[in-house]
Amino acid sequence: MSTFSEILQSMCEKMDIPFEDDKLIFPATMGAGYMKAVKLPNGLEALIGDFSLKQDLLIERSRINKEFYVFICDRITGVKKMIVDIDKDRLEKKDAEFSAMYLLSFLSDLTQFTTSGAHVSTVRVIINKDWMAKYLKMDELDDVLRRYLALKSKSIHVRDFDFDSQVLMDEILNPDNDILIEKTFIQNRVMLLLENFFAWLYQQMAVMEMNIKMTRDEIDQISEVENQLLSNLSQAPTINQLARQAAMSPSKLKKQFKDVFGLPIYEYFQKNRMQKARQLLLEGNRSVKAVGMEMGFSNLSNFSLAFKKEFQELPSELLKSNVLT
Amino acid sequence: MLRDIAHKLGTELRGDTLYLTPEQGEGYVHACQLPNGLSILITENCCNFDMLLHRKQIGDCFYVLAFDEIYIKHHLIEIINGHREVRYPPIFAGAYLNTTYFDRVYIASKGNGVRLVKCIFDTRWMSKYLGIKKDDQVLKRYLALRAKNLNFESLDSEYRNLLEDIFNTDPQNPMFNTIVENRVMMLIERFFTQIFQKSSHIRSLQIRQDDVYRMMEIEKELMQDYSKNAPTVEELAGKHAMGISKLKRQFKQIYGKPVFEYYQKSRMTKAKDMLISGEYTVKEVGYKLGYQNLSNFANAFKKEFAVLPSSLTKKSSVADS
Repeated sequence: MSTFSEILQSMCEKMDIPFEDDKLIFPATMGAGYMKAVKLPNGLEALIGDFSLKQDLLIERSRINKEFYVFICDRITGVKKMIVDIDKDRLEKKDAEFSAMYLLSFLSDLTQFTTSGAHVSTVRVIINKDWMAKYLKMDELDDVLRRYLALKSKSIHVRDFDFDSQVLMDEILNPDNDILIEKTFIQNRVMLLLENFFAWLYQQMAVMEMNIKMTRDEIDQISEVENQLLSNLSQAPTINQLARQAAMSPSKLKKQFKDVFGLPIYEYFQKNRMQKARQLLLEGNRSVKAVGMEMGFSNLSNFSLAFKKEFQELPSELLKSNVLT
Repeated sequence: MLRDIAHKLGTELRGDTLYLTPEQGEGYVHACQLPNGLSILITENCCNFDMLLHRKQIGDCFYVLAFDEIYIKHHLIEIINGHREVRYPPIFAGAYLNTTYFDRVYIASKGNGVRLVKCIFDTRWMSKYLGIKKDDQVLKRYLALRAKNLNFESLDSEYRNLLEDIFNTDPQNPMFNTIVENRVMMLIERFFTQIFQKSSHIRSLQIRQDDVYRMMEIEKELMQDYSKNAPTVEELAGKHAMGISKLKRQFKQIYGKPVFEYYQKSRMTKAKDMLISGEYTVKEVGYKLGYQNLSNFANAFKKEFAVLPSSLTKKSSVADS
């Protein structure tokens, strides 16, 4: 599935509701509002959604082997809890609002969980390499993009809405009734949001390059270490082992790892381990004990505590809570 | 076409840009094709020689949408289809659409300052991007008016901000295409929205051509310098020898807002842009825009945008927990 139209259609099938005019309308039992796919004159496809939820909503999308990216502008209010998992990375918000712009690769797995009561406004657009080559001079972007997607440190991951992007978002969601060229109107504002985001991204990368004095080779090397670290989540290698494999000193490794991934090595490992555990639990065919064992915990209460530290709930509680797919 | 002109002038084309030599004047002409298929021409120049440009009528129908800002020293005359003559005023700041059906000759004296953006598209492009067909009633009526008389949109500060962004974007910027295309599309969107809106309550020129031209000068004077007090309506009226009430009425007809409201709105937009750029403090912005009292500035800003200026300067790059 690589268009919003297809994605919405499959969601409608899951929810057992009709799909007409590229538009999903939430039935009263689940909430109120819509999500619609819009084909823009310039060839881009956008998803526009504005809805409130009466039930928890879990959307899962598995990776697709295509080089597509989704640019996401989300504004979510009234949410008790919302979790976005992107591969091994997680954005989480509790009792608050979440509004941000970010970019996602189709090569990543995505899980988005939003609790009932939330109001979601979203504008998304799918862009591919050709588009980027035309609009953003790909040769320079390639590098920027690769690093953006590799860098998991929190400060870089998402962009806050600034005043202009807020206004653009409002205009897209609530266009004047009497606009004469609606698709052009939406297209122009979507393009301005993209411009706003990429201008910020370029700027961030320039600033970062100055702050973290790392060569591209070093970033690649650290990514390699990360792979190694996560290759077996039931047992962490020691820092000395990792350092030896990467042929750098333990102290340099620790520092650079934190620069790139935003967390110390062991914390990062633990976080991913717990996310894996959560994923296994959500699959629903394993007991807490089985998952704990699989993740390398010989003591079950250690596992429960570690899990609670990460997600503020016990694994057993997660199993009980009901989710809508 | 640019290559032809360069050849005639004996200058070289560097990439898609023609630079005038110091003897010829100052400035450049840049032509390019945007990713969405639009051809555009951007120029800022001041020529040291008299110029005659002749564009012959061609059979295929292309539309040319032009956003011109021209300061005329001696004269600029346009001759349409060999007989009708249009004499431009000292300051011309307007947007207009025409087609390549007409045969046009421009005769410009030296010393004219020209800043303009032109875009060219065909009927296919127009129908795909704007959903407007060749035989659209409003479009036909507009073009017919254009043939009879100069029918243009006066450039207000909203148009001008978009144009400024285009002129100020460095061609080396990796996002040049995106920035320019987005601005051009916003210009086009605005232009068509305006002419379609106007056509619904036809304002068949109750204002004389001369008066429109005079308003362009007045608007320019009004917007010249935000750091000084704006000229009063009385001053403007006195200077241009017209009645105050007539000035007020015509200004509102052309620029859509009363004089001071218009001034204030574009002043606050300027403030917003300065704040968002992150290069200035609230105090600096207020001061640069002529406020001695910062709380007056904050109030005026809040009136326009419903938020205080300080809320736009906060550095908040971390969004997630």
